[in-house]
Amino acid sequence: MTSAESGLSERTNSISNPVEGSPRRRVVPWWVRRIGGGFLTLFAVSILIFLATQVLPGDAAKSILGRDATPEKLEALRAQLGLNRPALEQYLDWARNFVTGDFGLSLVNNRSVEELLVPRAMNTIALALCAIVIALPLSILLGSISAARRDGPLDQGISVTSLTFNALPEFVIGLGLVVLFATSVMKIFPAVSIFPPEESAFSNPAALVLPAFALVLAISPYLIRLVRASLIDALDSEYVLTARLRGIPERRILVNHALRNSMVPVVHGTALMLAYLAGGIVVIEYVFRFPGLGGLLLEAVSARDLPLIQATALFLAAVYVVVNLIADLLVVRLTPRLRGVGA
Amino acid sequence: MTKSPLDRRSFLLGSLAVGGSAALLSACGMSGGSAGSASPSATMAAGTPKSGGLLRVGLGGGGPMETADAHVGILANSDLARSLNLYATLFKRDPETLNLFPSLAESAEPDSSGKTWTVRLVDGAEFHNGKSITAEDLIFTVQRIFEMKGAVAELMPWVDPAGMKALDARTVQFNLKSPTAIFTEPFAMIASGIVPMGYDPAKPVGSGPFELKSFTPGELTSMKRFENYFGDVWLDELDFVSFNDDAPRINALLAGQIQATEALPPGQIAAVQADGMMQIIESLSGATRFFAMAVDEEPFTDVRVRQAMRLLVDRQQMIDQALAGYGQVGNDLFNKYDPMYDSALVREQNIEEAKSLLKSAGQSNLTVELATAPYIAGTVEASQVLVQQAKEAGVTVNLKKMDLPAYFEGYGKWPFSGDFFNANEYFIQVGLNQLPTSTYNITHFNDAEYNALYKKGVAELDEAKRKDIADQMQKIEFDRGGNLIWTYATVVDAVAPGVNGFVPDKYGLPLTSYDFARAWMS
Repeated sequence: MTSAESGLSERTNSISNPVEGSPRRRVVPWWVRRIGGGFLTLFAVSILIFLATQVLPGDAAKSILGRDATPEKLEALRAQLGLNRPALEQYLDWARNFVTGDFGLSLVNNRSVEELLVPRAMNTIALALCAIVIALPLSILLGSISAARRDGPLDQGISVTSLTFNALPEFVIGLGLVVLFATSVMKIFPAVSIFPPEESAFSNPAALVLPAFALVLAISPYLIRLVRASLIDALDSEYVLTARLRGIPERRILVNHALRNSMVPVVHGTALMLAYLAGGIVVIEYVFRFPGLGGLLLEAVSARDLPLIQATALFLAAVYVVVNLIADLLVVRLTPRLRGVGA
Repeated sequence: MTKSPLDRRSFLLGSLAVGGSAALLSACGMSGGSAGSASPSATMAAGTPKSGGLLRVGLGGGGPMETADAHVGILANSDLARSLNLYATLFKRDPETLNLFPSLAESAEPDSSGKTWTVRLVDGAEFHNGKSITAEDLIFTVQRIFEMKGAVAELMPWVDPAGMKALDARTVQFNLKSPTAIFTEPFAMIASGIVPMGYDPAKPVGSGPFELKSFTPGELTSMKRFENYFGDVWLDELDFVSFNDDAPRINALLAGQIQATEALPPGQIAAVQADGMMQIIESLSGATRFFAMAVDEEPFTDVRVRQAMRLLVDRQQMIDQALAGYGQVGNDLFNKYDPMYDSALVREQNIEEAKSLLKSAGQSNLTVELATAPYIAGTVEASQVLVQQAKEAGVTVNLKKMDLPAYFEGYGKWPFSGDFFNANEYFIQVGLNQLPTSTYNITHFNDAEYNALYKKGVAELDEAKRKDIADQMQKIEFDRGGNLIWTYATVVDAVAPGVNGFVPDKYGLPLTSYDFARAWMS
């Protein structure tokens, strides 16, 4: 909880910064500068990724040729892929094309990076949305129950269960679901995703069930505890005490006053989870053979396919930036005293 | 269509009777014993094959690097399987005997010196686009193999890409740079598939039993039966599903999403058996897994160190621990099922002798670094077992464990590393990794006596004389080579009930060397 709270205070600080800023800077709304900062972040990320791939042993030509990599073949392929040019030139070339919307060709299979990235991104979005759409209301519900019945048997039951799932590695959760619902105990849902290339996860809802379920189990414990802690804070606050003294029914206090005011950390927590779902679910993708972005990034790295690594990593970084920006906008909506700041 | 493999074989035997050439018999790898056996698909599969059905097969994938090109980039298992089903080769290998039999070729005959070979294609065979397969296509294919510098090109150094001549519409005369007795073997290898003139790898056209419907690298390959295939094909449709990881591949089989999968990891075989429904196909093979010591790198320049390393290994224990027992003990020689294999040479663990060899070499406290990566199942585990076993002889082995690109970055340069091969014909195997010109010669073995024997043996049309030369060569490998061949791998595949036609295969490639033409559903 502490990490989430400190994350929150950092973010609220960055939002309230404009008030303290110089008069000239105040003209530009904070979110515009945040977008500008986002682009700078992406630029820095692209340089970092490029440097990292230069440090990794092996290159795309080596990956393609594997143990057939004789010096002559290697030389020829490197020339063909443009890998024998100076590193700076390679980066600038890539960057120039990237800003004009040309993501380049995959080094290892000559298909356009977009063609490889877009379907995987769509699949990941489908899975992440399914997971968050279930996990968020579920967490708010269970977290609220826990907070309202603090230290009661229901709260303890929810806490123990969510801590258990939190402690289990994701692949254990995933494999457990496969054993229960796909292979050994019951054969209700597919164990892995096998889509024809022209289809996506959206058109194969059955394939989404188990991975989404696994993700719900993986992210809900965090969100439940976040809702619980934040709601307990709110319920202990003076305005709730005032409301209680005014005789407002407890249920109304909970839903209309406390819950609404405890949503700020939940919004940030959800943003964090969404960013995590976009890129950090490689394990779940592997267990369910789900064709998503995390696996694509891993494959790209193990193939040393620079344009694909760059595009995928930048996409994930962009998701991070955008999701956090949206979360901050929501927080401003939820927090009246922040409204109008810097606008 | 025109002729089944059996017909072509009888035709070949007929031409043998007329010509009376023992050389042809041996050159085509058809020893008397195997020639009498019928086509494996006819004898081994239970029941009568019938047409129809979609078979989905889970295979080890190669991610975005997967290719459908007939002649390059064969890395992942799904690449091998695609190649072997989209493209027909001139010859095929009998899974039981490892002998070759003609496939797209009707015959291949040498002149008396072995310097000129004449290949005749089967009559009426077609490519997937409906075009007849002609002598020009064969010439184009061989030239493309050389242009692409494919692995197969290095296995036929005697072929002169400019020395081929079409004698008629389906006969090509190969005027070789040097005589050879193993002309046909490379034409049974993966990546030797025959393609039409003007072949475009982006729209792959072959003449194999299946034609491509769609292909997404690293994900899914969909194929359908090629109706005009020159042999029998039973399945209507065939899908290859690529997997990066073993557990989901096996779960997909148990959940019924795929009906066959290859090379179960040793640790998972018991789990699949426990399911009770799956058919397990266990293939003892001549395929090797081995460690390789570079003979020109310290400390392996000293033959006593190499022999000591070979002597300190408890091979059965290594197989038990790294492969859950699925393997046969290796004797530092390739392919135990090859007719050329010298079974008289047997390596046994002898710690005392290893120690005394190391002592006499002044290497009593030897420390070596072993480069390893998961290039094939069980290698990293075997490397870890070696670390333990070496301790007994006072040798410290430090593991340098890497991912595949890092390993291949140094492939051929590591002083101590490892590799694997399928059960190739002996002289082919030597060409692959024992000669100074071999791409895969990671031991840097370059022995003048050995090289001279190879040169003689590869051109020797008399099988008995060739075997004698091979014996001498294997003795040299056994006494002073750099390969520590610890196992002949056992491949274990699993197929769902109702999937038939697969038989154990000694070559070492899973699912009867991915021969899905023989598969049928009941």
